[in-house]
Amino acid sequence: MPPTNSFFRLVFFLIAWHHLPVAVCAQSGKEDSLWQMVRENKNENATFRAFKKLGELNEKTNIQKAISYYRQALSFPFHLEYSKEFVQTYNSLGGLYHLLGKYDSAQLQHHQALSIAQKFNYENEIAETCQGMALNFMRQAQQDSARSYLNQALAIWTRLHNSLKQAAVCVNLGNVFLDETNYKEALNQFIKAEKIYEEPLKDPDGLSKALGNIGNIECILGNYDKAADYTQRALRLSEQTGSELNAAYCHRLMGRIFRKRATYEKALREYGEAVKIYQKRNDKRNESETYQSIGNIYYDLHQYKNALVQYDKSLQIAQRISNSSLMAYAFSGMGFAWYELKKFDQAITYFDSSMIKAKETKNHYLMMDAYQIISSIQEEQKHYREALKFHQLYTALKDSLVQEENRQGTQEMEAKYQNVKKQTEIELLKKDQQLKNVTLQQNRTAQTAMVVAFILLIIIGLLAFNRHRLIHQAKRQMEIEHMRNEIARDLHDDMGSTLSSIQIISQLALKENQAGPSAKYLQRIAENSAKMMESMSDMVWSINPDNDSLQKMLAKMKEFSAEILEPKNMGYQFQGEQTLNGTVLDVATRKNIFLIFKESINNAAKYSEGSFVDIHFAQIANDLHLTIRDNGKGFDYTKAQNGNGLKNMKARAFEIKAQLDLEAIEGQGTTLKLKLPLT
Amino acid sequence: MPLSIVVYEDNDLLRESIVSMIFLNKQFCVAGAFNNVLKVEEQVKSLQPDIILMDIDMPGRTGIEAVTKIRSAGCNIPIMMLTVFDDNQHVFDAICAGASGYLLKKHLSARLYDSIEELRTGGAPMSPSIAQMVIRSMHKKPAQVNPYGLTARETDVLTSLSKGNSYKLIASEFGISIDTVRTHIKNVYEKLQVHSQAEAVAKAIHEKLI
Repeated sequence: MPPTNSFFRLVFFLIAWHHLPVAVCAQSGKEDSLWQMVRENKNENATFRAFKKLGELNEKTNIQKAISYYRQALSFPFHLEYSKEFVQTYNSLGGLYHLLGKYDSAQLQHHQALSIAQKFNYENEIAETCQGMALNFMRQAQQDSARSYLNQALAIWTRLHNSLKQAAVCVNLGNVFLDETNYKEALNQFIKAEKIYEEPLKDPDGLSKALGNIGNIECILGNYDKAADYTQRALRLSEQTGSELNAAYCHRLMGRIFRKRATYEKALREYGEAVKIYQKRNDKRNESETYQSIGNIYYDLHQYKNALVQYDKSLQIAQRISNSSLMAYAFSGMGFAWYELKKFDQAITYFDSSMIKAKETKNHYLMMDAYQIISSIQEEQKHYREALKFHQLYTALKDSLVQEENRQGTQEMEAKYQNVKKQTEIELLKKDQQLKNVTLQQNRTAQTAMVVAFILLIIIGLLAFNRHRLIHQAKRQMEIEHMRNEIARDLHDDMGSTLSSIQIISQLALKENQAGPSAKYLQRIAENSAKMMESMSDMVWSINPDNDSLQKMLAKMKEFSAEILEPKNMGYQFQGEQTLNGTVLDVATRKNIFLIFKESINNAAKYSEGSFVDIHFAQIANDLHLTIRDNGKGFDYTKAQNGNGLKNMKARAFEIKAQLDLEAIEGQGTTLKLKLPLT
Repeated sequence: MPLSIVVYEDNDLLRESIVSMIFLNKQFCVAGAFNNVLKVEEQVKSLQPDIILMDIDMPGRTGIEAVTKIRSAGCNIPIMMLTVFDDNQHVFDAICAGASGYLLKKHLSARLYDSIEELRTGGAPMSPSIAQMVIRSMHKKPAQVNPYGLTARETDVLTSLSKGNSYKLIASEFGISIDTVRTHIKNVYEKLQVHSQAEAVAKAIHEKLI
């Protein structure tokens, strides 16, 4: 039990009067002689050193005693004679406060040490101070500060060629990296340390520490056999050197290994050993941590009530030494235990607390845990908004951490995240997450559908109105178009009937009077009315929007060719139609191409006196090519130039911005080439 | 025994011209000529012609309706529709209603006699435009794969015709004679009519008209 304040005061009071201390009992011969020196009180130097020595002797066995001795020593006025020792005492006191978790007090001591050491440029002491301060920063999760001080210490000791101290700094650096879950770097540092320790100047204590650390990493990496091996070595060494702290650490490590192997009885035993040591040494922080580990084992064994007990023990201590990190883990553990016991409200409270503490110590994994579990609980209780909120926090954090992972290049994050989860549970939750994401979203939208739907309705209303307007306009256009068509057709119908009649009547007249003088006039009437009807029919065909494809034009061309050429027993063939694919032509173009075609076929039928007409289509680049070739007798180009037919064709080609070429070789046939650029 | 023909055409000049033409041919004779189809059932019943020539677009009642009336009265007299344009949806409708064929007015003076003759012997010319319309209407009935029950060959011929190929080309394309092509087309006509008749009956039953 730690001495009470009154005892402290009493001792102090007695020292102040330089009286014989009554309540303190010397335990060893060495101590006796030291007390002798104190009693003699020859001079301040001697007495100071005596107290310092007493402190050193008791450091490993009775922390409180050691502290009191150091404080007594430091109560002496500062003298140049023992200035270095003064610094050392400050550091040692700081170290002890550190062990008790009194980090602020520890830092204070180190600061005192540093100022003196820097004044007198005691390099070794500066380095010691730096290391001590670094340890404090580590415990307070200020990794960057820790690292910077450690590097300072390392620099000094490298300069002073103190390899042992270098190794110690390496070990501490390794622990810093470990806290940051940078396993690669941590392992590097530990191996560096181990190498130094194993060299000629053997430091079994340091070595056992290094071995223990390597064992830890192997455990994290899942190589349990190697881990056990290293840890056993470390344990033996620490027992040899009587280093209880190391031994306790090794026990805990073994406990963890046994847990991973699911040999829980052995694990519990190891942890029990560790707790004993920590209690003896009054090492609160480690004691608290170990209770958590024990709690985890009970959790694994589904003995949740027992787990709660252990976590609570850990929590109590953590609260007493105001260690936020420990509290965060303890809260988390209890939260999980309550969750398993289905006491969800309790669970949420503890997770909440855990999250707060985790935030303080920037422990993202605990935060993630808390978010996820709270999200699940809220979901189960149908508080969907809350559930979604936490779930989103969880995924956001997870994503940023995954990026972190990839950057650091390790895949062993899970190991750090030890608190309560088994590996399989994590996998399951991951799979669950995707599913939950979907269902959560669904639930959420179901709840807020009303609001969204309302807004949407307004928007849709506006859009529909607009669309309706546009459609209405388009419809009107179409109606107008349709009406135009109708009118045209009606007109043509009437005209067509009449023209047909004229044709019929003139034919009848011709029949009656075949040889008469009016015969040729009647013939003309018949022909021209026929022509007129043909043109009308073509025009109506062209303006019909249904006929706007090349395919349709082709069909009409074929029909026409059959009509004109077959009666004359002329063969014909169409080629290359498949190259024309769904191109659309406007009215003018359709009409003109078709008419050019008709003219050409008509000429072939009437004048060429050939037996075959070859009609070839092609679509090259953006141009439509039409070639009409007959195997007739050709014609005299110059004569034809003045004829109406050719002129018309050229005019039509010009109108649609196409190129028309007519080649006629006497005796070899005529070829018409039309090139039309398509937009 | 001359064929008796009844003419329905609302354009007076044309109607008279047609009558004159028929009159000139000793093989035919005119049984009646009217400018509307309002009383078509009685007229056909009493006159009993061998052939009916009917304009499609007429005021009051259209030629298509008249065809429907005639056919639903159980009368199978061949009906030839007269039309200015052959790419008219009306022509298709008329055929579906039961018309036996059609003739373009611009071809009247040249082909009237031949067309009547062809009709009498059971033929029924079809133009690419009509063929296209048939195919299009087939595609418009997605529920039925083959709404008119055409055979593969009939569909082939129809498709080829819709592309503009003449009967001659179609014949050479499939290695059959022109007559076979004509027969196929005739079958298509009949199936169109049958189909439409069946539809009409079904529709009537559905609407409780029969």
